[in-house]
Amino acid sequence: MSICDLELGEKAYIHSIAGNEKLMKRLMALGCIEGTEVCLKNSAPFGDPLVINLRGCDFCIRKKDAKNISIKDTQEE
Amino acid sequence: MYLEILVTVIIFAAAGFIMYKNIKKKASGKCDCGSCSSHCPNYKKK
Amino acid sequence: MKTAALIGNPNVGKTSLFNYLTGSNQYVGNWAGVTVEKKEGFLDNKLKIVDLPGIYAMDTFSNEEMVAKKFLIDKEADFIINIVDASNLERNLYLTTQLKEYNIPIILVLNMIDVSESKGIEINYSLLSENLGVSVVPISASKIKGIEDLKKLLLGGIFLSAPTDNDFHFQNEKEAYDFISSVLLKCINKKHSDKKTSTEIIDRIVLNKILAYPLFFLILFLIFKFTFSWVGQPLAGFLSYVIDDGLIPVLNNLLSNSSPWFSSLIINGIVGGVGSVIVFLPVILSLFLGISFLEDSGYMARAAFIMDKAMRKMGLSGKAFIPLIVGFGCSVPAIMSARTLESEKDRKLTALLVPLMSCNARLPVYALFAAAFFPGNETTVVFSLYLLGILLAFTLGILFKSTIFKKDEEPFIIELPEYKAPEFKNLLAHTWDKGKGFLKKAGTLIFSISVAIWFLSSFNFSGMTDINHSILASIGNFISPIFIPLGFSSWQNSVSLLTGLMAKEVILGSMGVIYGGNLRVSLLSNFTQISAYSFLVFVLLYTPCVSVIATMKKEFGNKMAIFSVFYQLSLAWIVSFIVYRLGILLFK
Repeated sequence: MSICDLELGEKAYIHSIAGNEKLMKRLMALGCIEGTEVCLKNSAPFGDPLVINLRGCDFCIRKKDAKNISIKDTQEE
Repeated sequence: MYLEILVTVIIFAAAGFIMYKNIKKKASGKCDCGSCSSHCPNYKKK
Repeated sequence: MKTAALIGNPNVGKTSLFNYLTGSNQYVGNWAGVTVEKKEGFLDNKLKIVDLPGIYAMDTFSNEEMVAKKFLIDKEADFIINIVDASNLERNLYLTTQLKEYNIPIILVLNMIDVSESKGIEINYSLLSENLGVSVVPISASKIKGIEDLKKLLLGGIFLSAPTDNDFHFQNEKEAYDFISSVLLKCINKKHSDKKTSTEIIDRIVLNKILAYPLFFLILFLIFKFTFSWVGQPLAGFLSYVIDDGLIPVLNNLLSNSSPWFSSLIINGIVGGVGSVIVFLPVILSLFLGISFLEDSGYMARAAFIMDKAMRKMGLSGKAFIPLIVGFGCSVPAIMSARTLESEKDRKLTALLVPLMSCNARLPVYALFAAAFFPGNETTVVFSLYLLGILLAFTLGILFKSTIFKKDEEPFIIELPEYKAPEFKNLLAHTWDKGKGFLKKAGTLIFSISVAIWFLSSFNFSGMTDINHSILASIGNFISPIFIPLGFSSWQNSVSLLTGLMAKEVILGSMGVIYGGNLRVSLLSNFTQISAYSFLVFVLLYTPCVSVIATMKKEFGNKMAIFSVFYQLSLAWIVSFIVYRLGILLFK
């Protein structure tokens, strides 16, 4: 399951991230790490890019990158 | 007649000086902030 | 003198703080080797403050981070002023943990205390200071409270000195964030509020699936309407009336007894040239006001977000949207603001497309021609030119991306800041500054060029002569053949376009001097509707002014600068040609 599969306003917890190395590093620096709560806030008119909320801030990322962020329902390992 | 010539000389001198300064400024890439936006980094320099 | 490094995340009010601390005592330049802006200033002439670029971390991938890291590694700072957003501490403190590794004292400035208080967040400052090993100074967004305390602290020099051996070396992001979470748990008391922030409410409408695009275009259209129909153009018309029917007759009277060449210099040369341009001040100010409002409110980030998908077709990311918008004002700062793009290829591509966003300086030319040849349809005509520029940018973006600038995608991640009501005081001050700048340009550059043009058009090597035998006419006649296929090949037009290389407004100034009399009337007898439009297309697309070329050279080197000059000239010629021939085919 990735962030893209969430409904708008739905929350989940980060399981792992993959994809473009640079983006991954930036995401982790922003606190997108295993166990962090993330919320899908909004999306642009054609479903791309998406707005996610991480540790209190809103960020936009592209759908193809969001597909690489997998999530889980609970905070446990 | 003399007043005219004097005024003209001043005008031409001013014009020449301004052009010279401007060409120098433009060749070094300074924007001339006649049309700048609030995001221009040079803007904060008062 | 000690040096302090000012570091923090983007959008936390760092620039504001820097301005408060250094006042007008600032210098803006460049970091060596990279296109990243360097700002230095002085607090009371006793402390040097270096404003490092806004960054989220020290080690991900951008030039900005490299610059900050190098500055600290080279021991250029005696201590660090780390500004953070108090209403969003968690993410902000990640950078702080990385800064601790440099073993120099850190003053943690908690900005936006008022916002965090309204969100129900209570922070125990002394506990925070103890746990992080930093001095803590809270300040509010209005900056008045707290700023004096901060200044005293900075100048006093007595702050928590860094322990020589600190336990802030985290193996990875997870460890760092776990630490931050544990510290915040001890120091923060959050009264959970489910109240929707005003930003959320606004974004519901602005980013709504159905409304987003139409709203965006509506906003842009309104700004254009404001500029051309409601405020800008009418005021311009009034100024024009004041000059033509007020000033000139008075001058004619005053100079009725002087030598004809002198009154010609004053009336046809100076007033003719400068006057043609100054009347457009209201138009320029209106457009500027509109765009500044959008920038300051935070809407622009949303625009970048909405436009990302479309921009990707063009080979760029939504982040390039802002430099392109800035380009509608002036290409010079637009090209410089392409630095916010983190990949060199994206910066170059953006810089090449920026001049296609019709700059403010071309506006007077469009305005006059539109009023003369398409009365009643001015907004549409001018809008069409702007649109043409945008469409061509798309096309060329796709073209360049598939040839010269092969895929080098930079990661796309933009923070959406909270909306901010633009401070009208600031907005008006900026607009007035711009007005002053425009008047200064008119009073100096355009004035001197008008004088030069007057001279070249009234003389040739055997003395004073009529305009058709002047030096200017010879120059014009020499270059005009290029323009024959485009429909506007008189020597007067050719020369005016040439002078446009100094500044685009000068085109009008030159024409004002060369054609003399009422410019609008002269234009009507020298152009047809079709050749007028073809001329405007050429003005839209051809090589921008010398400052822009110089900026290209400064940012990207000689090769890029030369390439951009030629590609734009060719583009202008080709499209102008097509427009003219098509026009004749369809409308003659």
